[in-house]
Amino acid sequence: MRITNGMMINNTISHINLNKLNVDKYSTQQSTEKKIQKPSDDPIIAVRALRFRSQLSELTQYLDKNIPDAKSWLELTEEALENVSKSLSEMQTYLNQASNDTNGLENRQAIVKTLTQYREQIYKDSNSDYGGRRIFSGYKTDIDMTFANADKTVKYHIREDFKPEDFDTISKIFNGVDITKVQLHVPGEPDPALNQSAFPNDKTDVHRLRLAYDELMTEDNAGGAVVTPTVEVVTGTDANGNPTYENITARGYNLQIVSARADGTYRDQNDAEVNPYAPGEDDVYFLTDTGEMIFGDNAYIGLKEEKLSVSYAKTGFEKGDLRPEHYFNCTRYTTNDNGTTYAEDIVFESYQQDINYTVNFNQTLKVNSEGKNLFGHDVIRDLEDMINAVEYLDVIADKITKIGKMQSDSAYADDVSQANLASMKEAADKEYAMQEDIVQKLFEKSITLYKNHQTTIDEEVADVGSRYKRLQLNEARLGSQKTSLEKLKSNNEDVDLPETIIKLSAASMVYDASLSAASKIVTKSLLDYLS
Amino acid sequence: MPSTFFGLTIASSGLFASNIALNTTAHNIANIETEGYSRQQANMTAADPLRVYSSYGMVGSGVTVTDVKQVRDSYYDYKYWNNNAITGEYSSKSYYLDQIEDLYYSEMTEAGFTAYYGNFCNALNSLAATPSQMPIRNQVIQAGQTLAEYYNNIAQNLETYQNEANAQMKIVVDRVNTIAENVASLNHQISVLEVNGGTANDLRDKRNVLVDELSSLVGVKVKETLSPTGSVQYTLRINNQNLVYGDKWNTLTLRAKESTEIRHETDVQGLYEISWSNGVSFDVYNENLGGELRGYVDIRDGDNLEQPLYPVDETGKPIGQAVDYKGVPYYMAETNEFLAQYTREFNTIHMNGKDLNDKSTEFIPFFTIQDKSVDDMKKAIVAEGKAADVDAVTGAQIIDYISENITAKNICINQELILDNSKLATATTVKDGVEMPDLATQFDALRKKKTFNGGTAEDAMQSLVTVSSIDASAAKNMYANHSSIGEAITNQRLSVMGVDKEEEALDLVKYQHAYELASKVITVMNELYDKLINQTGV
Repeated sequence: MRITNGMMINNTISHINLNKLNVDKYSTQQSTEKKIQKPSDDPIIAVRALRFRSQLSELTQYLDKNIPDAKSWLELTEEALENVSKSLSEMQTYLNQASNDTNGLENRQAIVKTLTQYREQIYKDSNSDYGGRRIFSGYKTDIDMTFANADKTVKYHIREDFKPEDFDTISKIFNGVDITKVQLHVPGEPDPALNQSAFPNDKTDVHRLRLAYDELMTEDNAGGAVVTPTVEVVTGTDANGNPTYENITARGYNLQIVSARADGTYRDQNDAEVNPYAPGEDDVYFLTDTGEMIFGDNAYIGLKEEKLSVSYAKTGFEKGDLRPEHYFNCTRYTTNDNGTTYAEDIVFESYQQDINYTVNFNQTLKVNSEGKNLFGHDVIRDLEDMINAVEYLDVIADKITKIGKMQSDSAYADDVSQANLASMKEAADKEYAMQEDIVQKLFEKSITLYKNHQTTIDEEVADVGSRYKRLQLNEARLGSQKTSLEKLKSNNEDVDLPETIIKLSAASMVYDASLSAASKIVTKSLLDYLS
Repeated sequence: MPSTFFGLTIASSGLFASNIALNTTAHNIANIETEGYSRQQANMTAADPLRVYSSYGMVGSGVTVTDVKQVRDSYYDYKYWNNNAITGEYSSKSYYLDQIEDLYYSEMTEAGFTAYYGNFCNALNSLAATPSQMPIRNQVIQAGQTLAEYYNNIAQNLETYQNEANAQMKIVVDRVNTIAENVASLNHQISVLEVNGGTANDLRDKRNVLVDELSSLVGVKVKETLSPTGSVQYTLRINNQNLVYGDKWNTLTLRAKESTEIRHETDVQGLYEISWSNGVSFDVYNENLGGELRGYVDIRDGDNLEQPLYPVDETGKPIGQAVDYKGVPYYMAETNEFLAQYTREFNTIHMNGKDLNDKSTEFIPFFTIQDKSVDDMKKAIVAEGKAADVDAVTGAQIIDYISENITAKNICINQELILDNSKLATATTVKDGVEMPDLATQFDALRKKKTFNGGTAEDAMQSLVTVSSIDASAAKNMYANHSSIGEAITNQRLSVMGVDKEEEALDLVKYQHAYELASKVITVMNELYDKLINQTGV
């Protein structure tokens, strides 16, 4: 083949160019430490690099954002619940003391006061928040579990559901000793007979359902329609899965709405005076002041196996009351600007509200514990029962003191009055004993309730702990996954530096060689040797 | 018996021949670095012998220079031109594909789809856990904006490439016209010169240089035929049509397409239509086109044979011709198709919810169209006759409208959300609490949802990376292969036509000696005549 100078120069240039390309390739690899600079350099490496990147980005989200966030949330929950558990255990110690026979009235009053303080502490803990979000409020993280301040205007129409086991039996003393009705001898008058009505009846056991709130409204028309307390039986569910109800009046029972009047009497909705704790056989008394429903014997027998659903209206919340929206299906009504009319605000529905964090690929973890399962109304209402019972004990003690004073009063020195007073004293002592018994039983019952309550809390703490453990395991797993992913990513796209350095020096050597070859080719020709 | 002075004649023919050969060598040396120059050779032959009617019969009569001819093999020219057309095509393709693949893949700088989409998905994941948190809501909106802007950028760049390719077509056409004119004028000169015999070597070289250049712009076919009159007819064809025929030439003209002639909705305005100046149509989609022009056409119009739904002509057929290449319209269509589906899925979730104030978001899309409010869309839907009046338009119709009209160019995040992030819907209702995450969870689940031809959104976009990088890689390889084939052919051509220094140096020495010897012959003859005329018999 004929070789011309042009060909040689062409070939030399193209070889130098090839060598330059190699030097450039390896020097770029060395300075970027990446095997490819463009996807077309190697589409397979490029697409694999994309996959590793997207997996890493997802993993980093779980490892660096979600898990630490979930951990703090769970830590906070655990701390709050442990405080609650501690409070409950302290409360039980005090209740044990209080249920002891030897405790005097003053001691019991002090204990009730201490219990009230612990309760406040519990509800403070229930409002714990994490970065502005209440941790126990389900999805309503912007709403405290309890009222931070007394709210006298907001109204709630509440539907509260009961299970058969919610029925309890309480002892009540009817017609306590009334010292104003004692018949004393007045000189010149005939001897009075003993007034039996001034003496207490025996205590009676009544069947009760305790509502979540006291001081309920007898009726309310916020939102238009008049709402009065209604008791219904849950009969089943309709096609949409919503419950169906039947009013207890359709079953032949009467619902009497009983409230206290200014004169101290209790009257029903027809203004007839009634004894709130002695309903007729077929009657159900709805006591608006104490938030209780007292069932007559027939009514109790007929309804005790049923699931009952009670609708009522409530306004005037005290500081520390639990907010109904966390517990019940209810409608909130707030006043308009001028405070005159009420408008429907929000209809709340109660269901399980889990806050989930993604903690691994396709794995979520529930972080929240719902306050509605942890902080029940029972704690408040029990305490109120106790306060009322102890207060009543105080009233009786007061009566006894007064009778004692009257006995030693010269005005009642005559035999008849003394006999009357003695009989009344006996009745009052009996009443005191009965009430003391009631109080003691109440304390004993509360110990069980508080113990159960503490068990619930402790179980939740254990659950939080196990979720925390799961989180830690996931964290460890993700950590090692991240390491291996990063290794894979690096293997895929990063250069092996020593190898590249060797290749680069090899390439630059070849480049040098090709340059020196070129210098020889272009400088010589036959003319150099012709003379 | 030949003339006594016959030897002198023979010697002078040698002197002339050497002189011509020396001149030719000088010409070759002078043009040693001239592009496209083919070396010339003075062809010599022994002169016709004379019958001298003597016992030894015939005597040689010296040398004749038959012609000075270029040494060139047109077979290599054809190979060179064919290869050059392919090299040209892939050089322009790889130039653009190199840029297109960068659009879809900028992962080394953490500025590509995976990075932006990953951020968006991570923000949505945080949102599913903490939908009420304002910083998280902001993060979602901002990550969404970045993603939308990434697409705007893709569309803008793709349009730029389409515009550039279109402008390049004009440059190519102008150059083709110039070359055609020059070739025709050379043809004229060549035929004038060659009519008296001989070859116009240097003009032919010039013509070949022009065709070399033309062959990288557009595929060429050259034919030289002898006409009945004996003259040589030179025909230069591109795209199977005559560009130059003898001393006549045709030119190409460009015309911006009317809006009714635009094939793809995404095409930029003012794309050129090429035709011959004499009105004959020039089919740029013909497979014989070749060259850089073919590369620009494929990049500008390549839609992978996919028929666009819009626009259509009056018979309902798509306008224009499908092009079997993945050019700008293909990437536009794929990207827009992806966005249509993704935004449909996203908006369907978003517009089914309530904002933080429990107001319905039925008419608040998340992804929407730039400079088009929901009210505008309602009016457009009414104008299409799909609803009785603007109040009758449903959210589902808005979702359809956005999905049908959204493109990478016009995608954006709803301004309402940017101004007030509480309007971002994260739940079907917030009456149960602001932390209710049912919609946010659905957003989060989109990442894993396989609705894009059986893959996730990420898979769909990654397949575009794969397609663009494989095509770019193929174009690069084709270009590299044909460049090296081109080098080989160039060398083969040079092997025949190239001027070699050594060869010319030797020729110089060789013909110098021949000349000197011929002169010596004359000296000898001179001495002979001197002897014969002046000294013999005196």
